[in-house]
Amino acid sequence: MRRSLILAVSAVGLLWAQTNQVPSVSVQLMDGRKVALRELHARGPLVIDFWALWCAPCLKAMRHLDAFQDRYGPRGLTVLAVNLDTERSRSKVRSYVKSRGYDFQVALDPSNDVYRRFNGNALPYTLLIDREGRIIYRHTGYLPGDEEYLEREIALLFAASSSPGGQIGRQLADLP
Amino acid sequence: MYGRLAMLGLGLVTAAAGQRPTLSAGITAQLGSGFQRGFELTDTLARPYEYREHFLDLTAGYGPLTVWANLEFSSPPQIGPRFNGLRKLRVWWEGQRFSLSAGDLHGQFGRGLALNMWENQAIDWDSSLRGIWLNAGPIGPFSAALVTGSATGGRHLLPGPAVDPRRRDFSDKATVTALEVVARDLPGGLALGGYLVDVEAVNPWFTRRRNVLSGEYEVLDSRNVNTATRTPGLFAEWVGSLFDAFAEVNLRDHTIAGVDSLYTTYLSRWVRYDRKSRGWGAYGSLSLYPGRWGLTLEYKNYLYDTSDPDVRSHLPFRLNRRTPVQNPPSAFREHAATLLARQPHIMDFEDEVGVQVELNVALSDDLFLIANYAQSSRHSGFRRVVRAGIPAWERSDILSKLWFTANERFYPFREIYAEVNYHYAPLRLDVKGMASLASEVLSFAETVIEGVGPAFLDKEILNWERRQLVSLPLQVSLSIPGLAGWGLTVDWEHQWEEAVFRNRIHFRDAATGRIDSVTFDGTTPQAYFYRYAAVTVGKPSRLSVGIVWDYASQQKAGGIANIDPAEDSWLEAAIRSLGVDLRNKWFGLQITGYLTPAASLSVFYGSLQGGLKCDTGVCVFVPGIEDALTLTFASNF
Repeated sequence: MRRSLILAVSAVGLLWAQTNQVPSVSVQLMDGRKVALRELHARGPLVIDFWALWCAPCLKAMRHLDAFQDRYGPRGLTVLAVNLDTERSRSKVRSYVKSRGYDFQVALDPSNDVYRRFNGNALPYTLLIDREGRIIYRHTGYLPGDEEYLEREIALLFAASSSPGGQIGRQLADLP
Repeated sequence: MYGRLAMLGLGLVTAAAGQRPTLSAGITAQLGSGFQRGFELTDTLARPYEYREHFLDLTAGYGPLTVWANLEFSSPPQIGPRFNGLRKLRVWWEGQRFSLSAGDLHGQFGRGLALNMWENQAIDWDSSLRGIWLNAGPIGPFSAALVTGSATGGRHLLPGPAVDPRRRDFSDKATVTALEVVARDLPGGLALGGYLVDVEAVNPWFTRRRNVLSGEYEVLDSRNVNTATRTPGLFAEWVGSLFDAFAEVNLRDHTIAGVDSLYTTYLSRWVRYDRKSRGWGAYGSLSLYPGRWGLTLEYKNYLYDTSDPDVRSHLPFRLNRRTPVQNPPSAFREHAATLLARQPHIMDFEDEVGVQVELNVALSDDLFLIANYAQSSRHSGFRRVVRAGIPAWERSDILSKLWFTANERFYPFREIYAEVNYHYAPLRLDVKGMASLASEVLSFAETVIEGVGPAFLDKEILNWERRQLVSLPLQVSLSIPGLAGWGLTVDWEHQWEEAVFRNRIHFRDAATGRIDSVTFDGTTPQAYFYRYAAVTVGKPSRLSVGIVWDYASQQKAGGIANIDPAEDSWLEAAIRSLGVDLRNKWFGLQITGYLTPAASLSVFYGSLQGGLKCDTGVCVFVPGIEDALTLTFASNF
């Protein structure tokens, strides 16, 4: 009886739950500040990219994320690169990011706590989140050219938010 | 019980009134079926090797409350023991001044010299703690963390081809209580912290051990031994706009209780141990990044335990002095390139001193260089002295406990590494060229036998093995405009290995005390050559098709692979029909398709060599697989 009740409550709850919503979580930025993800996506679209120094495709993708930050940052986009390096290479993260001259925000997640809450299973793992905290795009892995798909989604998001009723966004989305 | 709790937790979160809860999931499913050569040296018999390993991650959130559950269904997994059911469960609650995690915990104090709880399924390593982690603060500049729970991880004794990675050799049961207090945002951006980590463990010593002669497992001693480890430590972190610095030191006291004697039956000799022991560790890093270059210096000095080779080899983890939750920084470059990663430095977390220097230079937006140098050694070396027929270990220490040496007795390791990254935007061309030169003493044995005759003072026998590696990996990827986004990725690696064996036997004159006669002094080099190539054609976010070629000039385990056409897979038969000599070559085909940008299905057919897989200094031998078909599905939603 008790097991059935638990199952019933769980089933109702799971059906009722929102999927594709950002979990409530804070990240620690590279400069030591702690910030909640909801504060970041409330400012505008948010790209979260999970990466590590040992992950070669991650490093290839980062130059494009930096370009997106430069291109769309003035319109409200925030790129947050969440680093998953453990003690084996954690001391090299700041040096790498600074010497590459990247302008996006970098957070440290050595225990993979944030990564787990997004159910990550391979790197790089990239998500695009709108102002309401909805995950509207996820991508795992990186091949040259993948950045075009992400940029298209970012453009769609800006177009949808700037047109009345999101009409432009819907028109763009209908394009082949 | 645990499953019901999970369902109840998820139910409570999702059924809560008010705003709607959130739910997300991730799936990884792996199937593999092929053959595997024997684990023992010279055993080349192929045996079926199959695995089914599936994971489901569920995350539910409601306001400040999050529940994460990880379910595993494996029978058996690729490595590690089989498991079906709820593997991990954690509940987070985050408030303004307090946060609480309960369930299976990961995390670290400082840089992990005393407490570092993490897991990696790929190497069957899990030092997570089942318990509670409470964070309080900040109150002013101060914050505190209290962690308590139990760790029940299993460990593999030795990383090597003679170890079955599906069978753990040793299991830990430890109760951990830890407290950390940190003061942050002190003047100048300084943070100071202190901690105390207390570990009480019950250790089943030598429940199983492999007999070197028969290859069979034997139950030698199932005695439970209580151990207690107390580790107080201090750390400081200073983060500026152009630099950061970190330092951590700790002391470790270890006590063995509840047993009068610990022994192994190795050659019928008793292994002496100290009931109490004390050691210390220190780690520091300094990074400077004033412009388009950065320099990172790391120093490690782990002098926790300098037990003699008997204890190192025959008592698991030196009587558990290194607790399951202790994992300091490795402070040498751990590589991702296939051949470089297969032959890593096996570090000794109990006894190692070394440095690592890494320089990053961005010559332009498209040209980036990395240079790395790492060197280390042990603090102590041993030789066996036989007096009146009774052997005993004689220890010698390095000149300074603060610096490493190149003397073979102390197992020196050194690597010089350089990397060039170049990007050419019009072709989306990325070139990564690497070069590594590494040298390491893998074994050292010195025996002095006194009183071998009236004319001689003693006889000395010296043997050591040094491995020298030269590796040249190259990775190129490009996407040609006008081909609808299709691109090409090539990985090409060469590696030369020279194993140098030194053997020397000499006598010392009884009258002069000098070396009188050298009966043998020789150095025997053994050369190996490896090559690895992977060529992949792909369309981003859609499809990629690749072929993998793996070659070894000789197999260290003996035998020659792929010489019998009767054992060929259809892929090998097709390649052999082209006139290709398949001796010691392994081929594979891989196709990956993206069902959605976050859901992929990979199919691999062929053979892969085994090798070491390491993370944060922890290594496990992952066996090769032959004539295999593997399927991997991964998705997030």
